[in-house]
Amino acid sequence: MIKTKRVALSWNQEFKDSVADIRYALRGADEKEQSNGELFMLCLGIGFKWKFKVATPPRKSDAVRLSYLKEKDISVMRAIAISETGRADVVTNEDDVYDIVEQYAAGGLALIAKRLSDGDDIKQWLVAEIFTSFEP
Amino acid sequence: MKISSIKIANFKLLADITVEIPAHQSGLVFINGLNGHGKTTLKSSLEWCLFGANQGNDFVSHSTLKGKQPGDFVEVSVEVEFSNSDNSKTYVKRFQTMNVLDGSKSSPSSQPSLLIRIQPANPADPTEILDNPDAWLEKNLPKRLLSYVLFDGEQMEKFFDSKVKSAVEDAVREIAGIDLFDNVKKKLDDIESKTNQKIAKLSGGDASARLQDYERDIRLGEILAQDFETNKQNLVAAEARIKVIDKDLAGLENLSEVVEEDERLNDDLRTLATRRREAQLEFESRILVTGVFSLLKPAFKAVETQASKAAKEGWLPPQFTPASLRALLDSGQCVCGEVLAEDSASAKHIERVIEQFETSSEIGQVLQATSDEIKLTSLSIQGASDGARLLNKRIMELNTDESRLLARREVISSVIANNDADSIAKLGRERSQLQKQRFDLLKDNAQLERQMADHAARIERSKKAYEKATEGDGEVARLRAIASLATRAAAAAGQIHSLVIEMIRKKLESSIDQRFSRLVKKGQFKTEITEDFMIRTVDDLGNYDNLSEGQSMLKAFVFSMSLRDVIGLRLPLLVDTPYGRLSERHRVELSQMLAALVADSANYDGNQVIFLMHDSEYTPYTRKHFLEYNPLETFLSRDDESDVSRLGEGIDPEWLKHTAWKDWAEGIIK
Repeated sequence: MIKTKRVALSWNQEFKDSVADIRYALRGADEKEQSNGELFMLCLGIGFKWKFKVATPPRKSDAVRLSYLKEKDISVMRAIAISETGRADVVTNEDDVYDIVEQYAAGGLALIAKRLSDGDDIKQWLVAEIFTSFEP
Repeated sequence: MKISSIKIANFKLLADITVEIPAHQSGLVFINGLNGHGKTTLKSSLEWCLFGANQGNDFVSHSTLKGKQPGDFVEVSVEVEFSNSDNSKTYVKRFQTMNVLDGSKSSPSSQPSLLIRIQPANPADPTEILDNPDAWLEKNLPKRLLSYVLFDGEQMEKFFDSKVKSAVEDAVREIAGIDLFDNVKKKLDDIESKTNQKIAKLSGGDASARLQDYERDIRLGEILAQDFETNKQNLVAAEARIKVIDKDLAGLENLSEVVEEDERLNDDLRTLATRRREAQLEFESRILVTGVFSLLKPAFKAVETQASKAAKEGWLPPQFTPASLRALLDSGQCVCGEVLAEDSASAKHIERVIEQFETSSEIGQVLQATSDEIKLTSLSIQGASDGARLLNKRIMELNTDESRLLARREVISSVIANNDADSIAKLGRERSQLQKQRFDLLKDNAQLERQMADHAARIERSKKAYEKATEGDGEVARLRAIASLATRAAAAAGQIHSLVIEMIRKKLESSIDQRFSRLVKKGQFKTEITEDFMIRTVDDLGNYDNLSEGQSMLKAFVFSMSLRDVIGLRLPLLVDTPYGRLSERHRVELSQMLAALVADSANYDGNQVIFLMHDSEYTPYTRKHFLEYNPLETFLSRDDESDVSRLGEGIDPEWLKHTAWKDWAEGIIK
């Protein structure tokens, strides 16, 4: 088992400013904003759904610290890596798993940021994306 | 007592008018004229002359002032000549000297003067000039009966509303001489109080204290009674107002309900919008928090596939952890109860499982953990999905509700589009408030009645305590006899007072019914004058106040005539614009009924009716109803150049140039 040395997952530096805007646009009824982990998983979900990856981002901008991720998050990331590679042994190297999910999360972030810059209601769009994904 | 002449000088529009009413035409008189020609001024001049009604400080005819210089004097005067049944004549003249300020203004230079002279039937007898003309007026034309001598037709449709309640009460009090009884009772009460004070003084300290208690209780009782009376009056006023609103909303009742529904709909829509917004926010928040993993579902299958493959190839670890299995071996017993003896088959099987776990591949262990977590995640996605669907269904229902309400509001908007919805809504709200107020007042009154009953018992106890404290003294006994007499006399005055009012009420009811039944369908309506002087009409089905507008106005006339019977005075009745704002249909109805009333009045010698009508009231069609009573027809015309009204006899020639009067003049209609 090859353990990673990184302490956090990253995403594109160029979308750093968008992250704050997205977080603001997605705040809940109680005005509470999403946590780093929640936002990363959301971007990952969108990137994965649309099969949109961007190159592994340089590790300059922390998206979420690994210590904040839950077992469920890690398991889902492994599932993505297995699904992406078609191999079960991908799970033995944490960096391989994190590289894959970082690319999808970066892709998801790019998609959401684009929608936001186009003036779309990203909250409505994301809710619709998720709601339709409930279909079996 | 009939008016046989009216002379007016320098009073507003009427600079110089004399109305002569010949004896043979004195029963029915028409003084017609277009609006602005002086009809209402004529009525005002009589109010001033006969009742001293204030006319302000500047009521001199402008035409009179035109030729005057500042400092000049002008006399304004109105003189009414009455012919009495004994052939004597009474002249009532009020006059006032006015100081001219400039060509258009004046101010009084003295108080109005009143002169009354009586010319006996025998011309040879000397004319009597009254020393106290005001007393004569108060006796023969009481101010409180002004409303029943000079009528304003425009106000008659409201004649039986609460506003006239006090006028009716005034009239009944006037007729019954109630003020006199009130004074007698007050004096007797004073005597009782003073006598009791003397008794207390004679009887010493304790009696004085008891008297104070007794008098305090009486005062409290009076306050309670006053509160009760005030509440009762407020209740009557609230009920009357509710009735007026009901009438105003009659015909609009459905509309009023529609407007109320519109308001309710708007409230409902606002509530619905809030609930929908809340549901929408909850839906979004929950989806964004709990539903994100659903986006990753497609990856789960790959884990399932890899886990199945690993299971088949045996590199997945067993379901139990080595530590828990070792604990079983140490305890020597399985969870199923089987004894795990050393070297037993079961113990050996468990040892193999432990070995398998330790030797299974690293991949298998991670895959197993991932697969278990993914299964839990799938379950949580299902939960999130179910929750989101429920919320979505709720939002859809709220949307449907909103669409339904919006559609209903659109229908309502088209119904109320051409009406004053605000006014209707305001009336509706006022009615709701009044109904609530009415309910509260009824509750308060019931409570006050209980308090009054309790308090009456308390007064009785105070009185006995006081009497006990003053026992045994001869002078006291004598004074107590006086106090007792005063008490009984005061009570008797009160009873007589009530009896007289009751008698007057009954007489009025009977007289009104007698007249009204002759004019309207016999027995159809019955009149009730309530204890607090509300006049109500009950129809043969037991409904209150179900009169048409015409009937209601006629009833006001009838009431006025009946009042003359009961009061025993033969006062003329002068009515300005008798048809008020009645519709054409009701005018014809009222004309017929008025003609019948005039005919009826002829049976009551001395009654005199003077109508002041404008051109849309006095037409060939209304005139024909009255011709057989040989009326005096006069008209007021206006000379625009001199700004003066003049009186002519017959029909105004100007009227004959237009409409129905033209056809009448040409013989087309009769």
